[in-house]
Amino acid sequence: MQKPQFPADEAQRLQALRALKVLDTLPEERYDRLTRIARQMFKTSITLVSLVDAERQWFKSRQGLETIETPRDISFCDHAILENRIFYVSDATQDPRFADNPLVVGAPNIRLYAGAPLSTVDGHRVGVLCIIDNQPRCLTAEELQALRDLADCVEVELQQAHIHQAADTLRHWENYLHTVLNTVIDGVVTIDEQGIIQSFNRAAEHIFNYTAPEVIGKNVNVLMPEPYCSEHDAYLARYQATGEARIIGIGREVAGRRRDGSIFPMDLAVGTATLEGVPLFTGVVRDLSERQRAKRQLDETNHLRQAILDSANVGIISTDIKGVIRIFNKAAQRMLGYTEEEMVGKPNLVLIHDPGEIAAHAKALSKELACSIEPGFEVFVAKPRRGQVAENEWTCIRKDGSRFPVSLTVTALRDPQGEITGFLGIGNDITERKKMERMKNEFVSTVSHELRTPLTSIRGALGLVLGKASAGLSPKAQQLLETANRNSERLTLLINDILDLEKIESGRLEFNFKLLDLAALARQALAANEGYAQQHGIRLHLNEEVPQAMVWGDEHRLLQVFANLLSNAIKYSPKNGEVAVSVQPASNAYFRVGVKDNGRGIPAAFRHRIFQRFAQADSSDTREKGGTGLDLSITKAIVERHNGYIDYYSQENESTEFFFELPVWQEVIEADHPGRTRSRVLICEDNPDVASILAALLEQEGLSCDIAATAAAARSLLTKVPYRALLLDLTLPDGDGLTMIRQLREDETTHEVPVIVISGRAEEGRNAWSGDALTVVDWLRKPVDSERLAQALDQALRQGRFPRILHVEDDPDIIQITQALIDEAAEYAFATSLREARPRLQAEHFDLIILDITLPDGSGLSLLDEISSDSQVMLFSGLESKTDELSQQIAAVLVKSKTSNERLLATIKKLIDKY
Amino acid sequence: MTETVRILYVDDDADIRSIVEFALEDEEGLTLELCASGPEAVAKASTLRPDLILLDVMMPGMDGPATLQRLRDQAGLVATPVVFVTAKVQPQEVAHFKSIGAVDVIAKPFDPMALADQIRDLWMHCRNG
Repeated sequence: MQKPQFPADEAQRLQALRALKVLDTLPEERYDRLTRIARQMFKTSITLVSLVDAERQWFKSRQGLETIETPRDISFCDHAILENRIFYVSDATQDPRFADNPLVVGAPNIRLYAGAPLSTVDGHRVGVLCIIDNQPRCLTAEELQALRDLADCVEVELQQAHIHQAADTLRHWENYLHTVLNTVIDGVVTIDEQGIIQSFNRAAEHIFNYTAPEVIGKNVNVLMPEPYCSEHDAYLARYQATGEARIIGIGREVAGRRRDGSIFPMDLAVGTATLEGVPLFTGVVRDLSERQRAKRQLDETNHLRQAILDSANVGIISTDIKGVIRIFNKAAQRMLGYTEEEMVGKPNLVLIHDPGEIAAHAKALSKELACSIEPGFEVFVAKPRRGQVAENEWTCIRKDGSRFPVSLTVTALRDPQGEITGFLGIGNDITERKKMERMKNEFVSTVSHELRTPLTSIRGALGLVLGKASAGLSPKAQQLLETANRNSERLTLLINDILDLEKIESGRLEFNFKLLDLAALARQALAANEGYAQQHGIRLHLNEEVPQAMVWGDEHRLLQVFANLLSNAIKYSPKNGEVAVSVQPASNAYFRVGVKDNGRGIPAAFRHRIFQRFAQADSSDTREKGGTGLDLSITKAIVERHNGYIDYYSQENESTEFFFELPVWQEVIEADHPGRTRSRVLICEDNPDVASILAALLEQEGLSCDIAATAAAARSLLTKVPYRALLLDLTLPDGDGLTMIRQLREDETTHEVPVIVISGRAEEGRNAWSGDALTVVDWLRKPVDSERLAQALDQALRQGRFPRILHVEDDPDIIQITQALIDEAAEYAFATSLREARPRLQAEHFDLIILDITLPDGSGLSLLDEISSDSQVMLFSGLESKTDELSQQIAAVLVKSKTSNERLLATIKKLIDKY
Repeated sequence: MTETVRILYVDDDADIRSIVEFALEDEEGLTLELCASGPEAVAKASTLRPDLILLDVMMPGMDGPATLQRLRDQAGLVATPVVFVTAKVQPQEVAHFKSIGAVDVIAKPFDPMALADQIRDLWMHCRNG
């Protein structure tokens, strides 16, 4: 068998074959009908359209053969593509090239083979149309020509593959362009040089409300209102003649006309191109109606906003997240005396606020939010940032320096994602309101006094008649007098409660907050109400589920809460009933106190009114059960002032449990020094505004203070309270400050009090001062420089010889009692473990150290070596110790269970007396 | 109990004075002197030398605290215990009265039948404490 050579153009030939993209495609009728005709014509057993690939011949169409491809190296067709003419073998068995070919020796037993090569347009012979038979046979010239003719037909089909492919591509791009044009939101309209519309996309249909078929072929000026409509043809002509363009290549806002004649604003951009020598203009149109409407709405909103800002009589200031002012409305300008230009774009909030007040707020907020709040802009926004309402009263400072009170509400401004973008503050000048409040306070106070004075006589007279002079009274008269007496008592309670409630609700009642143990308070309350319970035949029972429940509260007011809840529970309990009080954690953040009775319960219908004033489920209750009907309102107000919450559960005829929850006390990290009593300073100043500023500055320094408005009051206070310093005004209503300093220096109890003069006449005073220059720490002018005051205070506190006590003790009750006993007599600090005590002993000097022996991390006695020899030591513990076994440093030994408060205080006082 | 406690009661309200008088009459161990104003009290106290002074707070002219100051200025009255009898009994008001030198506060309206005992208790407390 002889293999043919590769054709000379083999590489290009294969490339051309593959470019036809016909290999391995499905059979197609246009080829099959030609092979069928050939088979019919030549009466051969097989006809094929065979394409000669690199390693195989593959049959695009085949008649009389099952297989779809055969190897190239045994193929006849491989020979046939070598030349342009028909390759013809009449009997393969007689041809040495093929006699041993497997296709000749075996099936399909080829004898006759005639193949006409198939060429591409480029002349590459890529395949063959062949006829094959298993009988040797000679073909006539006519037959060979017919075969060639049929092969030409196959060639045409092959060449059409190109055309089909091009058409497909074209169709694809047309679809693509169509899709793009119909999905762009802009209208696209093309016109020819006469202005006749050639294409009109879907957006254009939508914008102009025409369908494409309606406008294609029409002059584009149907889409234009006058004067564009009439001018357009001339414009196009001029453009073509001169190239002068008004829109082409530029784009501008013009008017468009819809099918219904309505005119709308649109943005038009026109590009020009030449297509096959013919100019084509493409207009891109965007409907601006929506945008203009939105803009108009935005303008209106802005105008409205501006009008609101301008006409509001509350000050409105908004800032960005860093405190740079963005809005400073007219009312704010009027109130504060600054212009918009002076404030907007600047972080100027500090200008209008008192730094002392900001510092005091920072401190209070740090405590409330249990994190460190820097004095500054953060003070205003810390709460809004946390999604809380910040409503506070502030002192604002006008440009001219004058001050006025403002009620300020600050809210966070957020974007739709909830991110804070800035803050909005709305402030009201409350000078008038303050004045009214002051008048109301005075009125309420006066009225209460005026009511109580005659009531004192009425109650006194009735009480005396009943108590001392009832001998001659008839039973009827006696009963009437008793009624009168009982009601005078009720009236007294009522007046007290009304005043209480008024003050608590208006926030004017000062709460004396300190660290308290709710569990201990519950025990105290039970003891206090035991007598009342016994009168009603009720047992009180305490379930303590926590040994300690530390909260930040006012002891007196919380006892009032207990008393109110207990007395209600006792009153409504059945005879011989039990009232159970429980103290337990409600969650991580709250302690819960419950007071439960087994009384008749509270009707569900009454729930919404229970905490209202004068609310009682049954109006006969008031007389039967006593009480003023204000107890629960007061109780609720007190609990809420503690940031707590009060409610109840009740089952009619079974039980009622009132409960309140108070936040668990959390130590503030920022707190100056845990367990340190704040030093007290006296301010002697008759101007209340100045006094309150000084008080705020002292607060900022971590000092507490009292204010005396007159020299007499100051002198009186100074003899009673061991103040660490006196801030003194020189001009006082009842005397001269300089004289007062002299008097203080002469008096034994006051001669060491450090004095800081704060006065408009400070210079004058200093020059006039004939006494020892050292007796006054500093002379400060008003308005006072806070920095310099801090320095003077620092000096004064170091100068004053105030005894300091460190109490090493792990029982908070003992700490609390001792602290209360020592009160103002010394500066009191405590440590609850050896670990806490050691660094303090090293770093600070204490005059007296009170030691508990049993501490969580060891014996208090182990501290003795670390205590400096000039400190006194007192043992105060549950253990008895023999003094002689202990260090000589120990000046006193007291045993907790055997020591009364009086003795404890007396001992402490004796030990610190020398200081 | 043979000791007699001399009490000076100062109040501008005549009715209340008579109630107090009635309440304390015949009370063993207590003698009562009444004054209607601060100045009168200041004048009387120096000669009377009471053991205990009960002062109304709101009086026209010289009020209770002012009267207290004036009493303190007098020799022999520097340490005489003074009790305010007043309707001003808010905790911080009471604290204030104590801070300016009162030993205690009796709330108005008071229970007339308990007044004598209340005064005796106060006196015992002052004498011992």
